[in-house]
Amino acid sequence: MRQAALVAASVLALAAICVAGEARATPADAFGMGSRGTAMGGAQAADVADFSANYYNPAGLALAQGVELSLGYMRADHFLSVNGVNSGVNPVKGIVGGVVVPGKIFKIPFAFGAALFLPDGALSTVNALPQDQPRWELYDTRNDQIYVAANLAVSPLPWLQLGGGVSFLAATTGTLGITGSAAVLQPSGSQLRDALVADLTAIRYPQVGARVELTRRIALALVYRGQYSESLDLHAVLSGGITLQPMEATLTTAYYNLATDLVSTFQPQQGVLGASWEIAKDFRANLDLTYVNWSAYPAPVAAIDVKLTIPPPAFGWPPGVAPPTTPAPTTVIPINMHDTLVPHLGVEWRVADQPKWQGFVRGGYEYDKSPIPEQSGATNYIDRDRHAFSLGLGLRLVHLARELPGDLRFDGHVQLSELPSSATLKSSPADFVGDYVAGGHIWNLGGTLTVGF
Amino acid sequence: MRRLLVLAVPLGVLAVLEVVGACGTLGELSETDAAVVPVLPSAGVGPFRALAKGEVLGTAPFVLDGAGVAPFREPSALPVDPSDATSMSVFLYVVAIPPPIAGVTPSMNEVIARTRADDARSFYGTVLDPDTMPAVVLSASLPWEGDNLTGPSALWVGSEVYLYYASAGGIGLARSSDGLSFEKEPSPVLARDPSVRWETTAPAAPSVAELPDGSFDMMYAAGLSIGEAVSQDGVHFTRVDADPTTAEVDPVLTPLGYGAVASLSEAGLAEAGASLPFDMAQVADPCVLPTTSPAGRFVVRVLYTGYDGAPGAATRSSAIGLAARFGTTGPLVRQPQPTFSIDKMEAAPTLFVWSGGEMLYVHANAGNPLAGEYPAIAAGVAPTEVTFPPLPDGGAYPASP
Repeated sequence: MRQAALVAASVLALAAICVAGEARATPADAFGMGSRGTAMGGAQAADVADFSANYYNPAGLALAQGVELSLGYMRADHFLSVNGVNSGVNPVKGIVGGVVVPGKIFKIPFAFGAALFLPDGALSTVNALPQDQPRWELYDTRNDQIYVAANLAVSPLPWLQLGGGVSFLAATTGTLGITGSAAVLQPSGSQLRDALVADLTAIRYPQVGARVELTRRIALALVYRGQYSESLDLHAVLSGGITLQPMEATLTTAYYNLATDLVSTFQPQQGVLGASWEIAKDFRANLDLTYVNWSAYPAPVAAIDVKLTIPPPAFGWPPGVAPPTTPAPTTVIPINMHDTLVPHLGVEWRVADQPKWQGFVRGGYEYDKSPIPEQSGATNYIDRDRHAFSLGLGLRLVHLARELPGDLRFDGHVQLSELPSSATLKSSPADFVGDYVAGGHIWNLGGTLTVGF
Repeated sequence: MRRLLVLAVPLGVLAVLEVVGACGTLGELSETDAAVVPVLPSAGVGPFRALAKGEVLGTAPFVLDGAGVAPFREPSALPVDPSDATSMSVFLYVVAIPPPIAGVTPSMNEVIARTRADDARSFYGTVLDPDTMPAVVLSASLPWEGDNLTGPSALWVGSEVYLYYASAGGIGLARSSDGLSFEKEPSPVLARDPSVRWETTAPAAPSVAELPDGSFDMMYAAGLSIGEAVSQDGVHFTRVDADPTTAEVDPVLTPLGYGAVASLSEAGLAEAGASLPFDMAQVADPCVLPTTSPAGRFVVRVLYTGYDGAPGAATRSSAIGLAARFGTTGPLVRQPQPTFSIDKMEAAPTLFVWSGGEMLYVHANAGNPLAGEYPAIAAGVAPTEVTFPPLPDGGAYPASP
């Protein structure tokens, strides 16, 4: 029965891989997944076997020793400011969790895994802003997304694990229609009716990984995560009679067609090279290098195309009344981000090793050089280099009860991300935004409980 | 039963974590996630949105409206208490044509009057403030002034109010300790100089600001452009050449010009949908606003009126523009987009800054295009997210101007 379930899950996951299209951002990219991974600075690709392998390296699932169920909570609060004023970036918070189901098919170790981040607030947030409006491009609403991943892994050889799967997110499309009459000289008397139709649709992206055990103490890993983007295409249609005063006869009928084409959230493809070294019996060090293809990032600005058609009234326009002209289409300024190489460092020290329990202390560091170029022109995609320092504690209880022959693990983490303040200098003195000084920090706290059966 | 307990305990711990995490606080931001209204960085000069219905009594966006009886133009804002950044009390010096009173004001001459609002919106002497009129503080009285005084520019210099103004013979200065009774300088502080070829009209529409070193920087309109003059004492001004590499005295801001517009057209920009510059024919009415940016750079910002047609053209429209430069000398750089545009021939910007935002005052055409229009003082605000407390019934007009 268990093998049948595994096979069914495998077929479903493989089918999903085959049709994988584009998907969108995950909170794990910014804040990690699971407390152990976050506490170790995200350096997990070659040293992960729990549910978080669904994000860090699907191949790690094949290392699971038994069925595991994990559940946790994380909360990241942004204290980012511009010119000394809090920018009001909302926190990212929600439930994290997942499952790992290992087994064997034809004597080959095999595992299925799934992971979830379920935000407390909106399941999906889109914030389409003018390109000159200042915003923390990599933090504003971007990470507050539902995230689901499903993966399969096999270990065809004792020293080799392979895995892959898909992650699921959501996209929004919609149509806005407005009809009625607009009073030219008394806009407050206009009578307009509107209707909005919007859809939330699932999108997905692939990820694959491999892990090679060079020696009993050293392992290497390679991971690839696909590129994905979220599109928000909004079409608005306005048709209405133009009158001089409310309730007066219609002079003419105006037609206003607006179409937007917006990539509201984009996650670049990533490649990870990871290494794990068990330096001593109770001490392990990990290093991941993540290549992020930020240069493919499209400008997150709505390209707006407007068509305004107002035929003149039969007797011409009244004196002093001039019909509006069609606004010029948006000229989107390229964002020109550059690729980055993100180092992740993590260490884990087993400070206690008793027959019934084990204790762990973990630490980590991650350096994200900002991929966004100096914003000296008209755009204001604010970002700063990020230094993320993390600490964590772990407690593993074994053979806690006859009904729980496996283990019970509790991991906690605290992560402080520092974004050093620096000035953005505008090339034009007549810039509406002007020079600004931006920086701040982010606190990330959380815990994960894992039950191993 | 024990199996259920084994599972229930960790799930219970997580439930507590969830509740604590959802309700917990990590500092000022987390008290209420939704209560934080982001304050975006801004150079403090717009873009402005026009005040809306409900934000002013009467017809929005007009805050000082003589309803055609007493037209008001060319405002100059002066904070009532410059030491109190939170105060929204503001004086406006405006050009007015008072209604004729037999034996007192016989002519239709333009004078300078003062009004006041304590909420930056409800001005003493507007049409809805019954039986009041802004106080006339300055009228033409010297031979070189001609009949009309226009273009007031008021600023605090210590405890004195310096009021610069334009007249037929150039730019004059009057000083006052109470802001109502002024004593004029006998001669213009900047008169027309025939050697400056671009000044085809007398200097007008002055705007003066005191710089951090105690000197005075004046910008003024003449011909179709804006020029600059400086003074150490605020009385004796010397013209500044914006481009010393040429032999002539150059203005700091010129209209983009029809030649440049033709170049745009040749480059295909106009055909590609780029709109023509709003200030291609004339720039006027400077409002000088020096400041230091958050990064420590000294910036001279100038709000001005831009026209897309020459003076006297059958059709021309206007908008309020922004130009600026880094440092104390040199030509100004234009912001391509207007900072305020309401399609009512808006002109003569002036800015009032308080801790909650910036209020822009201009004159614009009030009334109905079918029934007749007249100039009145309109207002816009930035950042556009600024909201105002509701006005009490009958307004909140001050008791005196």
